Amino acid sequence: MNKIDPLDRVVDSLDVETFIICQNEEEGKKLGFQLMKDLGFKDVDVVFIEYGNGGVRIRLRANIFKPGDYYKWLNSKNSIVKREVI
Amino acid sequence: MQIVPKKVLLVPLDPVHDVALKIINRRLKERGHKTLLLPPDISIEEIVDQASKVKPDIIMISRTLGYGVAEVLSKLIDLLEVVGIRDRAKIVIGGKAIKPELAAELGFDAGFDEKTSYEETIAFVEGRKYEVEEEKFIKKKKDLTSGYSYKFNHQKIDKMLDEITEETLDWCKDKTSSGINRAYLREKMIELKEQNNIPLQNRNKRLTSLQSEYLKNCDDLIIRFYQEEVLPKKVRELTTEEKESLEDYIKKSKEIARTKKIQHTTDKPLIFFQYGTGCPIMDIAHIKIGEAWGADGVLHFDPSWGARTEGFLEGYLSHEEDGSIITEQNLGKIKESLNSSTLWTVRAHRGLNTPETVVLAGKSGADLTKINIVYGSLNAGTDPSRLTVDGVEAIKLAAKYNLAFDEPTNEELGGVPAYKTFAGMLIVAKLGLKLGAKPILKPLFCYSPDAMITGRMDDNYIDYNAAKIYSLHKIVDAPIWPGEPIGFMTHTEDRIQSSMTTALHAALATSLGVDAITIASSDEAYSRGSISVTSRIDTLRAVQETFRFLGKAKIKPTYKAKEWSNELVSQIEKVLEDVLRKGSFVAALYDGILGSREDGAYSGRVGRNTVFSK
Repeated sequence: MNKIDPLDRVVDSLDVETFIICQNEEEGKKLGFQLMKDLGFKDVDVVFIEYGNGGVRIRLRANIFKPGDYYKWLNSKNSIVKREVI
Repeated sequence: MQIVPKKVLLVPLDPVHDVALKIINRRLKERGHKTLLLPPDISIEEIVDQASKVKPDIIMISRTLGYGVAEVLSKLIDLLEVVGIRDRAKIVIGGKAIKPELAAELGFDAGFDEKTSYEETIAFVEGRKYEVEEEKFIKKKKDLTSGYSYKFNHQKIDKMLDEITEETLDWCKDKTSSGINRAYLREKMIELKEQNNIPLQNRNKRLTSLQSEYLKNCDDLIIRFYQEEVLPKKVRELTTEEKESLEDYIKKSKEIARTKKIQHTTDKPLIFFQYGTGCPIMDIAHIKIGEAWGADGVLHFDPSWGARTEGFLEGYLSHEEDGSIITEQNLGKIKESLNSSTLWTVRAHRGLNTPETVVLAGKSGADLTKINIVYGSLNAGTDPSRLTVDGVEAIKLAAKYNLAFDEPTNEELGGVPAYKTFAGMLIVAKLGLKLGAKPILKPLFCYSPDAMITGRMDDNYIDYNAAKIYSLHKIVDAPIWPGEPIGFMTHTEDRIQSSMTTALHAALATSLGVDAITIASSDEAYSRGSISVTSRIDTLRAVQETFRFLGKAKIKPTYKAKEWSNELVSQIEKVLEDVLRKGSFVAALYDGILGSREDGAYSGRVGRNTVFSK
């Protein structure tokens, strides 16, 4: 059986929401981008960032498929997976 | 089906968690079953003793799975077997992490976990086949205008609107535009394609002739597309493989489609969201996911350049930026994907293609469209004369295709006070009624620049929004659908805050008894990228939870809401008096009576000097 790449099934984007210990928002943003890069994502953005004492609450987004792209999940094999009936 | 009463022994084997069994106990009693609920945390010997005395048909045991529990349960089954209960009673176990396989392994007849509904448990006791709630629920398409008389409660305003609209219709009667020409050419082309009795050659010849006439009424961008196959920037045609895969996606998604009701104990407001990702495939994904999470309707948003361009493109087209291109094919595919209960709006209101959009919407099977001459003229860049002529024709077409139309008052976001936007909306509504259409009033639930300047929302977001609804009720008996989206300008990039503000505005909407609302996604304030499908689910879930919380209870506005609603009615009256004094609706638009430069409204220039005599 071929191994499925889960990212091929992601409709549009993947968000990572976390808290990063840092000195300020700027540093938090840098660390956030670094984190996404280290995870292997190329097209990333900070959707939301908020600094509190000692760190940032941050939501990072990796775009997997943008509108107008060729979506791998649309491929008929991947498009809809019927719910498993127990 | 007649219920055969059963004798049920309910055993909370868990030391503390017996709530579920208490609920089941109540429900079983209500349905005429004889039950005995034992106290929690008793020994298995006592349970067996009670079971021997009661001789139940069913024993229901609740127990959260944990260390050593399986042994206790096995022992219980063994003891029940010894005293002869096992053979005559069904024994079931319910609790967290209890799976049917595990229950069977331990010797039980069934196992229920925390996801099992009470209905399923009751069905088991009664020996009925359980129908999953969502499968039982059949959503039906609703008519938002049903039950409204459109009778004006405010006689003076009614009379003024009558005079203004008579003048407007009279002004329009000998005027036309290339937009109107295209609408009727488009109608002819579609109808020709629908006629199968004409020989293909003749049909193609007539289509070519109609298309050539159509292109005489188009901008260069459109002409180049048809004549030289040049697509606008950032637009591409879907490939054959994409189209085939999309067919498959639609087919499969319809096969497994389930509907859900977001409203709890009320029937309204219906929940709409706007799509317009740029790509019809992604739009369809958003629609199908939105439907799965309970959306009642969707609105098609086209790119802003579509409103500034004379004519429409053709084919299955994808666009890299916001707004999905209106073509007969794109709309057709989107319609094909919709659940039968989903209401579908194609917005037409603001640009040079307004009447033609209504034709395409009508021919594609849309339920609703969107027309507001005033907003389109003052905040969407279209010349007031052109949009009045086109808008009136678009309303006639909406009546012809039985498309109710909503009237967004988004000029309020530019800074125009609500009372001016309402005066404009009421004029267009009256035009609609005179032309046989069904208008839907669309006040904004928003933190508008005017509300900020006047401080009306310094304390809360409730009173002024409520005042808007009260004022419209005082004027006319018509459907009201706040938008667009509710809570405009209160959203931030914080997903929780964004979902929360949408949900709270939805709570206000249900409290005020409005017919529908348009909700944003939790990505509403995120402007650097496209809206994600999960952000749609965020707000649909948040609204559902709010409706569950509120039920038939209501948010109570303060006395200010009534005060401000009276003020709004007087202000609307005054604006309409000014329009009448001006003697012309179109002149009133140019002169800022319905929204001035000081307010933040600018009469549009697109399509200026393009109105001509019939």
